[in-house]
Amino acid sequence: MPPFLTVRQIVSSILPGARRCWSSAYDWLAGRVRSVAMRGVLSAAGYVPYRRLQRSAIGSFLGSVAGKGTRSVASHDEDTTTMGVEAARLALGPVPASAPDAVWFSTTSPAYLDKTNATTIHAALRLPQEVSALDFGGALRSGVGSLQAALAGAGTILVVTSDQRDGLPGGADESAGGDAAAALLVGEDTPGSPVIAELVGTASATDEFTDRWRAPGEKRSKVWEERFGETRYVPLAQDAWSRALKSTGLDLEHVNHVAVTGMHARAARAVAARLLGRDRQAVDDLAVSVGNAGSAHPGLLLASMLEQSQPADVIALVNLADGADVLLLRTTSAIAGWSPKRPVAEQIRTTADVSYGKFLAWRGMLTPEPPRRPEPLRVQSPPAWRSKGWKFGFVGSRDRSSGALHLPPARVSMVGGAVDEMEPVVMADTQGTIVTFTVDRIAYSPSPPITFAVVDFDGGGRFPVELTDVDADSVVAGGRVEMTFRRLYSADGIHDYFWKARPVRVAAEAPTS
Amino acid sequence: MSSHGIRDRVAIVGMGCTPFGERWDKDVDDLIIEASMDTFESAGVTKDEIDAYWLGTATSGSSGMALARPLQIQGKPVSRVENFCATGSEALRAASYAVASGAYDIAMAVGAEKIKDGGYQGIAVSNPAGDGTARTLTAAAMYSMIVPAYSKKYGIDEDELMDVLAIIAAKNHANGAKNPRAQFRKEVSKETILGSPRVAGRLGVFDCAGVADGAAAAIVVRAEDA
Repeated sequence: MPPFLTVRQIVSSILPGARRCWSSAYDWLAGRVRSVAMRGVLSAAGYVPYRRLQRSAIGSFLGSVAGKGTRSVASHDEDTTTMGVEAARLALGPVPASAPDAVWFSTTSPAYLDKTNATTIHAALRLPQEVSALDFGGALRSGVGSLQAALAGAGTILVVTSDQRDGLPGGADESAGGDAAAALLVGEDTPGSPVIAELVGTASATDEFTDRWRAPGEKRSKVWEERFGETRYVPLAQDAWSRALKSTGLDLEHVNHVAVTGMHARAARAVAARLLGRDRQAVDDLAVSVGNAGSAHPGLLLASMLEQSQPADVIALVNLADGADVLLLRTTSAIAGWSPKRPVAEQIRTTADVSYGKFLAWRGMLTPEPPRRPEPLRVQSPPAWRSKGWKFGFVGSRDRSSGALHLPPARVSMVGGAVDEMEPVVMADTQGTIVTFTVDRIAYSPSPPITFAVVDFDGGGRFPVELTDVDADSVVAGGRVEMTFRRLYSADGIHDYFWKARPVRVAAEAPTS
Repeated sequence: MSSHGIRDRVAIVGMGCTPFGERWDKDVDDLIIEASMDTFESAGVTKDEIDAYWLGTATSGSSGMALARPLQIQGKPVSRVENFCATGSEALRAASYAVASGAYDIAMAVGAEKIKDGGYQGIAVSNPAGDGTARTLTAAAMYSMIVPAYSKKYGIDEDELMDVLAIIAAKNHANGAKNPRAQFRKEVSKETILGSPRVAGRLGVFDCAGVADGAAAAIVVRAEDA
């Protein structure tokens, strides 16, 4: 290996434009040298929810020091599972030929214990029965851990991470936390689904120290005084970093982008300074725009880095959580042909504020007066299972004889009356137009009022559906919508997952800097 | 494919109706008894002369027992029917077909609803959740979607449409003011109606039906027996 790197580095420094050529040539040469197929990332995506809380709003409400920037806030109808679905859909979009063998899901706030949450994601992605779905539970480190395991493993694995970070009002965690999800599709290089970033090396350092902890059932973490954790993390990071570099024969100067992340912000800054020195900066950790999304944050940064990479870039991810994990990836020439559907930077720009009061209500810190309506009854498991294609996958049916599209799917056609002449039609990725709409100020909702519309889908099909990620007074007939996977309510501990429509938004222009 | 109707073949020979409104002091049995006694008297018959009964109730009773028990009906067929807001009509239909067919000579249709005990705002019908995908809008919200759609389809300005709806509501309240059994007994101006709080979409409080407790009944026979 080393002779190829040395030659490539020399040429690249002389002829910057030759990088792309070298990347392709390198891939070809390296492929010849390897005895096993290249394994790495096939696609990636982050999902950042629509709403932001201005940190200054916390300060002015509580009469405390106002923070800078914003943190991302999941809508009241999102949870870690639904955000995971959105990230997974975005990651799989650019690689329709890929077929995951497994879905792995990691979060510190699972919607269910005992019951697997990854199976909900599996159902929403309409994956076949033979694809396995597993949860990696509970700890902030599990996201990166599951990614390392996938990269070291076999088969095509969709690694999904998701988190909603909470804290007590006025505290650091509330302000610095973020809500987000990330999905990385890991597997071997194939013509239909090439590796866009190959794993070059990885190393981990583990230690047992109680820096951040949370009791089951608690919403808020507790932390030991920050100086202790900082002094633990820096040597652990140095150890993992040097072992990772050594295993690949790379030096810092070969690494194009470095992300350092972890819930201990001071430690992350100290590690970045120690590893990168005075002359280099780690990539933007999104602390000012999104906040830290816990176990999802490494994946979010990785997706973001890949979206901004050139071929033959070396990317490093350093994660600080009960130790230090380092991943080194090199992008391939295939990344030039990879088209992410909704880059993280675009999602960060496409946003609207949520008030601090509404944020507190959504998080259960405040209990507003509910509407005077009966609480909903729990979803029944047998009907939910019978209609799982519709409920989780938004699959309608089209009558072969008349072409009429039925939402929900039906057996008897509403045009022509043919029975059992139906074909399933996936409608989750089809956009539509609002025909009429209303705002229901009385019906039960976890966050009233309900905004509701009748939607005509492109290519056929009409469905009355709840709207989300929208202000009630900005809905117009003729508006364009797309479908999103959400949680309608929970009763008896059972979550009612289904789809809502949200406005199609053109991303705001990127700021010129 | 045919629907011939039974026009002029059935006669209503007696009716009764309770006042409609918040009847805190009456339960559904009381309302049924009140309406039924008035109807027997109105028709000049006794309970024993009725051959078959139909009870129409959407939220306030299951099976014919909900009528048989309060009226102590024995040895006669008693059925409960339901068809959302057309439940009352459904009971009258069934009783009318029963005598028109010749199967029975005298039939009685009773409608009863006791909604105010629920304590909720608006009608709250609690169906099993099923798979959780059915919409859970209020009736007012579902109807409110007609406003923008109607406005667009017929090219009528939405404000003008709301004005006309307010005239309709004002007319209804004026009628109610003349009816001792009506829930709302005051005239309400169009301006008050237009200025009232919005309940769903553009529909305000006065554009939407109130919910009330009440009962009514009718006794039917074949026209030639009336």
